[in-house]
Amino acid sequence: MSHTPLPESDKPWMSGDAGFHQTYYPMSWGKKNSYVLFSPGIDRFFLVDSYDPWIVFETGRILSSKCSNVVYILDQVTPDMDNSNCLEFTTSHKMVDKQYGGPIVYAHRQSTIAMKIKPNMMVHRGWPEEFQEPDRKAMLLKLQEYALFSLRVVHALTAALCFRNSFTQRSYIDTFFNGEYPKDFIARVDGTSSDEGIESSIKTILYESDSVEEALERIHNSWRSYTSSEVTGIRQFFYYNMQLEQPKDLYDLGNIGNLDKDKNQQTMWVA
Amino acid sequence: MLDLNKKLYLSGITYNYYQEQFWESIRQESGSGGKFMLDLGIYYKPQRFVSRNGEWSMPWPQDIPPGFEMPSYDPSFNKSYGQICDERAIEIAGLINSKNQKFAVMYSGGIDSTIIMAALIKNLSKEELKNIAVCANSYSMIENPTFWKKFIWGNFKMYDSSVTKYDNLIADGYRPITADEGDCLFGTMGFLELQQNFEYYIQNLSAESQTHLSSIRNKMTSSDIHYSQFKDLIIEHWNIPSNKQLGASWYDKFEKNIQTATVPIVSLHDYYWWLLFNTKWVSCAIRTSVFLSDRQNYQSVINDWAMNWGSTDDFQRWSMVNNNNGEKIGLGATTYKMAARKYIYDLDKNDWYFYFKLKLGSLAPNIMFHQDVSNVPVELRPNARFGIDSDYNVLSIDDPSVQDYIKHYMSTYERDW
Repeated sequence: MSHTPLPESDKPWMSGDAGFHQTYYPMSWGKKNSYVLFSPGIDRFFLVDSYDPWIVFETGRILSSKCSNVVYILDQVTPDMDNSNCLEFTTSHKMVDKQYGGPIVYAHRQSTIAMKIKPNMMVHRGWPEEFQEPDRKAMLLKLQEYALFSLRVVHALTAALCFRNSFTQRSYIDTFFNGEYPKDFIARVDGTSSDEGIESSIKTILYESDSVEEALERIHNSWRSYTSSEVTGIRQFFYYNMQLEQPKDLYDLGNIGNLDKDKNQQTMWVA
Repeated sequence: MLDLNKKLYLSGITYNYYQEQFWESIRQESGSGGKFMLDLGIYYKPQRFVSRNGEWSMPWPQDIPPGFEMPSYDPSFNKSYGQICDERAIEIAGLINSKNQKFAVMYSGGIDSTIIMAALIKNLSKEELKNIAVCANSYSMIENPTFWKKFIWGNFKMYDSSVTKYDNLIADGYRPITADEGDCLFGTMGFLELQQNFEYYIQNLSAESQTHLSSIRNKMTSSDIHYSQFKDLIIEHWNIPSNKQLGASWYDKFEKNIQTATVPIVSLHDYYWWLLFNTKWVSCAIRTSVFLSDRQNYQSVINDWAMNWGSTDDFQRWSMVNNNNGEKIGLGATTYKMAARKYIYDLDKNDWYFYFKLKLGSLAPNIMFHQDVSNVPVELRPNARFGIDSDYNVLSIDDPSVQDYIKHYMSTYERDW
């Protein structure tokens, strides 16, 4: 299915500023670069972030369906490297990174792994030779745009769930109770009606989608399907962090959605 | 009992935790050629180089098992890779229809095994595909999730390759199909690793050599530059910390092979392609039969049951006439196996896989590491296997007659290059 390309004005993740999520990381304000995604196949970095290595790692995991990668935590700020030119930077070689899952081809894996970069390994080598042809160049730029978009979504989703999810029983039960509960207990992942939870739904969309436009449309549909009676405001918080307006049909659901009249959830019972 | 007159079909100097002590114990008494072979075993694990074309001495009497010889070089061969894939799939359809045979594709999600699935899906009818099972594991899903979701999940009988051996498949009446010789047709991971670490390998060379190599760096896959211009780089690539002469000795031995081969080897990529296509073919083609079987008759497994997707004369002839034209590799890793990428893309239309898939090793981490060998005597487990003789007997490194055989030939094997 083809999707109409978004105008650049509707792509805040491509604007060069860090986005609203920077407000969650006061220690990182003003930093140039700290964490990068590296593709051993392309032999270049393709995403730079200065805020959260675990968010970058999760972004790498999502992108592994498209391009296997390694998360590097940099040893020092690399002058002049940002998302506008990181495709020209690489590590001088991979012989110091033989860890299983690392970038050397013998050890690399499709699943993402995090590594601390060894000192003084960064080099500027220019645009990769095998991506000079127009179709290959366009595809590499598409990968980077999709990576930046995914990074923004993971930041926004993580913040939305941390700030707004009040129905987190499933994660508590799975982590702390190890089967010590009746199997027929209902344990919600979040306040949405998605069985697997909105986090899994949206990350799977990112994992599967072919383009930013397709992903945005499917994310929109997902919110519409699963948050018609959602009361915690996860959806609104997500779009706010994305720096995107909610699509009108989502906005029209109101602040707390259309409550399900067959469920006794409209009243706050306060002693 | 391994008699000294017996020839071997598969042999390996394997520096793993189980065999390393034995191999080092015979170092002192080994001849100059034997010591070279041991160092090569430290470099290349497992070291199972056997030449199918050109001069190449071995410590012990070695033969190519029937069916795995190299076909003659035919410079006029003009079938496309895609045509050969289609014909191979149609051949399998014929076996399904004429003999009701069933096949289990050893599927990793990598390019070679995805080729098999793509060819079968393209060419077999829905009814014929009912005779195809997929032997995969959870990592196969991760390595190629789009193909999994779109073409495999829900459409085939499944086996878990992390625990299923050839024995199990054969017991269920399935012929395992493997594309394990795919790298032999297209090149090597070793070449990709050399490209990836070019700066590392040239750092200790003379300034003059560094300048020269850097100037031809982007000509590694071009017939314009002969591989011998990369000699310093090749030697550095093959050196090991304990033997800085290994690279030069390797270069001379392999050079003798290339000079006596009947197939043209020109570029640096050709050099590394020939390493696999000529000297690793037998190992790649039969290793899963030997190391993923514990109970079966090996001759029957190799010759009657296991099917090597790329082990046809057409695939091999295609491989011999398609060097340095972009079919095997463009400049680097994301263009490796380009003809195969195009064939898969024709079915799945997955741009991401086409442009960015990187060759990964899957046999060891996803299959061999997880095999249950608790029912196999320690001395017969895969880690203890030295190879097979020409009667297809599996040879254990713990067998005294095997040890005597190895010691005898290693002690008398001198450098002849």
